[in-house]
Amino acid sequence: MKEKTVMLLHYITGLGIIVAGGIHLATVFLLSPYHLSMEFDNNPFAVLSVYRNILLAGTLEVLLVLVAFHGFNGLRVVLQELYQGKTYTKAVNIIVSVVAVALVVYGTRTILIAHQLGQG
Amino acid sequence: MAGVGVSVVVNALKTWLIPLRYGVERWSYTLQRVSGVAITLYFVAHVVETGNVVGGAGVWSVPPYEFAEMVWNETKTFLANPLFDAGLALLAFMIFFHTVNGVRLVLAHFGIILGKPTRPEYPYRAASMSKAQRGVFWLSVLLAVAAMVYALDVFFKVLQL
Repeated sequence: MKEKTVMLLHYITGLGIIVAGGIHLATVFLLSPYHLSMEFDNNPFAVLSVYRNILLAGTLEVLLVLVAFHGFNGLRVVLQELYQGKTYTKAVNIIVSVVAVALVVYGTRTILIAHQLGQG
Repeated sequence: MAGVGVSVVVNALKTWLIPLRYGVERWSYTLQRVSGVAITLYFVAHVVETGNVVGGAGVWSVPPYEFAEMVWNETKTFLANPLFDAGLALLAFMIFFHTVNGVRLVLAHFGIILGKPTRPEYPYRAASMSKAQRGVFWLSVLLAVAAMVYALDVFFKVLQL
């Protein structure tokens, strides 16, 4: 991908995080007291209740992908500014991509299983 | 060769992490980077920690309900630590600063609140850093402090808001 495209995506994901992250923070802090949001189940904004709700679980998945891209691209830019070199740049690009994809896979697993656990 | 690489990195780190003598622009640059890296590290920890909702890293199919509940309650006990809560309050500051200052950067990069170029005259304040940009920078600091106070109240019940 061209650097120009990546930076445009950095801005778009950043603005997307404001929406998805706003919904996430609102469900945890504003719509119910924090200690109730941290409960496992049995109240409307408990952990499993959020994953059970297809819209809120979908929001978490979107947030996961957006933050993984935005955060790790940010890290890539920071590391690229620290030091430059052909091998170094390639290594940074690969490591950052692998870690980001691994986190998306792990987080998606949590969301999918927690969603089914909530139905059970 | 390795020595040259290290000194390049050390010099680069110095210019980011010491924002003195350059005005708010440099403070915004340093804070944006430090908060970005910190939030990304928190994001990694958060994805791992919330993985315990379904019973941890070893679980790749739907586990027994009671097992997942037990692991989550153990995780909650582990996380009930004033050091973690203090860290989250600091993260509230960083997330709100990074978000609002990030909006400023997006607007500036598209030329929307960018100041017009002028002749460089004493005291050499950057004309590109317009009043609107300074305003949004200070707004981001204000909202970040408000978010941190709110978080401190949630975790430590200091104000009883």
